[in-house]
Amino acid sequence: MRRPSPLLLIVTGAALLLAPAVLAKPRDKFLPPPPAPDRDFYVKKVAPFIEAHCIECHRGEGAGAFRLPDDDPGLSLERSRRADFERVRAFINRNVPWESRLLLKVMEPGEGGDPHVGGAFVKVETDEHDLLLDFVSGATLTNLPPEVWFEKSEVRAKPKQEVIIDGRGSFDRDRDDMENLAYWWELYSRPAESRVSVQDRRASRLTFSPDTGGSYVFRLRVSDGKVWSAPRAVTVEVFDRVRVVRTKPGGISGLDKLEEDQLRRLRRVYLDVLGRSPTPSEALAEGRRSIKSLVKNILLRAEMGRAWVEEIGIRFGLYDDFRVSSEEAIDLALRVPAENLAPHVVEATLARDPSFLRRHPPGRPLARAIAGLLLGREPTTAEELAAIALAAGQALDMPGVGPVLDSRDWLAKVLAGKAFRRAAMKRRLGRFLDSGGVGKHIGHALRAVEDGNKAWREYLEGVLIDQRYLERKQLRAKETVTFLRCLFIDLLERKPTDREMAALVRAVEAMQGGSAAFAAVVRIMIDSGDAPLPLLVDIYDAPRWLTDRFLRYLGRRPKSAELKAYGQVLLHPQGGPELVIQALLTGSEYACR
Amino acid sequence: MSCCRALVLCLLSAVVGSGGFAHARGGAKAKAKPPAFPSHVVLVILGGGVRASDMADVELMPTLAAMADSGRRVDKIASGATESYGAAARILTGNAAVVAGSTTARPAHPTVCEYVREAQDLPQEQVWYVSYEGEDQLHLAHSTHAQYGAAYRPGEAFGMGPFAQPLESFLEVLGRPVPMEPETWEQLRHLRKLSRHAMSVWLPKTVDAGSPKAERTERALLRELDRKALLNRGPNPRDELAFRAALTVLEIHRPVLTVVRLGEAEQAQGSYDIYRTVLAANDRGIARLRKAVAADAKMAGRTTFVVVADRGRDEKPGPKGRLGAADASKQRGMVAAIIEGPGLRRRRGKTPARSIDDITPSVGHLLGIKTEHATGRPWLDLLNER
Repeated sequence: MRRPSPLLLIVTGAALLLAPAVLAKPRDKFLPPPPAPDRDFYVKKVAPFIEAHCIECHRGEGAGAFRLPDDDPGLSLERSRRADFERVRAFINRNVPWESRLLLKVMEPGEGGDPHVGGAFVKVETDEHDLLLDFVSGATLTNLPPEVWFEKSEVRAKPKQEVIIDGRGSFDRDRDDMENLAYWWELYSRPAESRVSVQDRRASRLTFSPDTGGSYVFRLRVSDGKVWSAPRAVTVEVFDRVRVVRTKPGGISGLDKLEEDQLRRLRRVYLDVLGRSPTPSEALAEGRRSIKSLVKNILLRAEMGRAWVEEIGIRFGLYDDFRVSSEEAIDLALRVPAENLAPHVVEATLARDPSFLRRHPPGRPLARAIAGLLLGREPTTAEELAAIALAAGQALDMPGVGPVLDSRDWLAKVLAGKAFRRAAMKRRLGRFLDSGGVGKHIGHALRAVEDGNKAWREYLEGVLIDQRYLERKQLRAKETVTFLRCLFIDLLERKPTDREMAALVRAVEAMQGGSAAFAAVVRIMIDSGDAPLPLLVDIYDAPRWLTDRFLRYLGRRPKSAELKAYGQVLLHPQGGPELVIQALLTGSEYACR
Repeated sequence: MSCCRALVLCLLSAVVGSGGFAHARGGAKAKAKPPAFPSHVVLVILGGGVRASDMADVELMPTLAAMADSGRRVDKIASGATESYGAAARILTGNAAVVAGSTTARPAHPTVCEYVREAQDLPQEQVWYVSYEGEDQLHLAHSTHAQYGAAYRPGEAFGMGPFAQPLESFLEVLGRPVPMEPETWEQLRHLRKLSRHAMSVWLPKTVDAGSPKAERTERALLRELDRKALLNRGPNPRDELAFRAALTVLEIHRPVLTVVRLGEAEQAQGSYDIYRTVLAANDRGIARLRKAVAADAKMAGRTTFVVVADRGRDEKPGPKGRLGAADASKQRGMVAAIIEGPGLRRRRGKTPARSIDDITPSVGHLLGIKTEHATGRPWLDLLNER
């Protein structure tokens, strides 16, 4: 294994010891917000598409949340279309126009569209798709807006290494004033100890040298001289990166060089914090690292923020049609590792997003969501009845909360309350500790949060390097998202995309509980041809290969009886390597972390 | 004399009470009394228009004929509907009100699925609506009613099935799994058992991987997903998909209510011969559902099947071999239903006028729930009293 240079270790170590603080977000006040959808463009260009594809189901008392106003014979066509526009604009996200529901609902799911009962109407390469994308991006009859484009939205680098982020892929939809694009870079988030700033905000290519390890987030907006586009972010992860070494399918990854204890500790931290298992390369590179340094490093990774926010979002049901739309919630995952946000802040940011109330509408569903998802208990009958009255427009005294004006007010007051703060902390600590441990730690953890984000991260680091946590033998069931991420890493050697994750979560939820749905997903992946599985002739040393797979998937060596039985199946005409891997990944131990 | 009779009766009742007769007959087990009401209902809507004379025709639909023999055939049910969506909406809501808005809009009155979920406070997976076609046909799963509506929507399945449908884009990229051989399952079971045993002390109780129940579910899911699932060449391809989805749902969830809506009988508009092959294929599909229920110890004997056509068809095919739905015959305006399972009365009462609006109240009666917004009436002449 290649050792990192001492200088690099000193720089990175020093950076990690300093807790990052909140970067005062340099919002550029003089830049106008991204353009709003244009009514005239809708009336002239988009309305015919909506009328051809949407009104049959969505006019009047139609399907879903997208309801166009009733036909009014007294209105002229133009006025009727203007009335439609007012409803349509609610399905556009100015900050991330390419993720507007209006667009995603009519796109093919295979091309990134959302599931739609009415089916898909446009493909990415068609003019209709471009028309809708123009519209949601703020096109007018006289100007089509520009759009930011990066080759990669994630860049990896080492400290001090010069990083170039090229914004020249950005384009103007009019395609006539490409040369005249203006650029505006913004450093959205950086490690607290970093002093990096953007030297030339108006350059088409951003150049910078990260001065310390951690995650940096830059955002770019472009202008065609008439409007400024919506921003697009690019994340730069600065660590002494693990070199990915891919072994041949029949090869041995070399995990047997690690002690079982080292591997178990590493797997525990990866599974609990990043919500996935480590790849063999990561395990070999980090297995011998001190646990303190490993924990500090992992808590700073952008992946940690993404994993945590994704898990909460899926638990809240905020995917597909209910994807978050507020700028605050969209950027949340980027802020978590840099700012060490406390659990109640992270959860409240997602719960405040408008999609939460759409997913859990006022009335009994909201009462159940507030009690179950936010406060971690069953709703009382009194709460359910009060929630129904509240949904009917009646202001009242909500049990345990006090006077509230409406459902939104109720949600806001719950999110500001101590009970929610405690429940959110319980959930976060519950990721790492059993119920006894949570009970013991929660008071201290809440006090740490009150002392500030730095104190909270130090507290969490303390929990994760505690020997009782690292040596715990009792296994815990993997959550849906963790299970799926592990399958992707272990079988396909990559992380799932957002769309894949949403599709799989939907499918697993349709089958409600149990491990059978995951077992079916394993079988799909194994038979896909995308999983690098060996042929029997590629395996030269069967016991060593089996041991390697046990270490890789379960983090332990096989017992002699297991080795014998798995060896027999490996050589059986009806068995083979595929069945061995299927058995390991669909067994009860793999379902645990 | 009367004293002697009383003494004999007392002795008899003592013998019966102690199971003495069973012993007297050589210890044969007394047959368990069937329940008065079902705990599960499977409602099959033969959509697309089916003549009453074809329902349970022994040659064309032998399974339905057998079900009629062991249960009840109900004739002269007024439908009067001219199109399937409206007819299905009436069957599912029990309300004769026309569906508002477009021809595929959600009904304004609660559906039987919503009633059952609301009344028994059931989770979504305990009530299913399986449709021969997705998209807007799924709108019949639940209404826009303020008290019920989306909050009580049932599980919905269509197309490739409840598990495969959400995975469609994923399967497009990765492909479908190869069907597994029985011997492979045995090996897999053995290895899983071994691993479970090796770590049994540290495993949480909630993890069911490797248990018989999990394997049963897994096999049902893989049957829905595997490459054989793409082979669907019968005369009723969309109905076949619905049957397969319903089988997955029954095997995995054992729902309290499963609604299966078919629609391929509509092909009668093109050809009378194809219409007959569709009905025969649908009969075989219903046989598979019955078999799945009979093979499940928790559903067998506790499940009532209700099979009903949504609307009728012309009495005779036209000169071009088509069977339309436009004449003024009784076959056009009346449909038949078959009911089999617990909840049926032994003796029939006076036959009232019947309508397809009565189906939801009758299902409600079988499951012991009120269908307050339905205008139809439960068939109390056929069903046990509550």
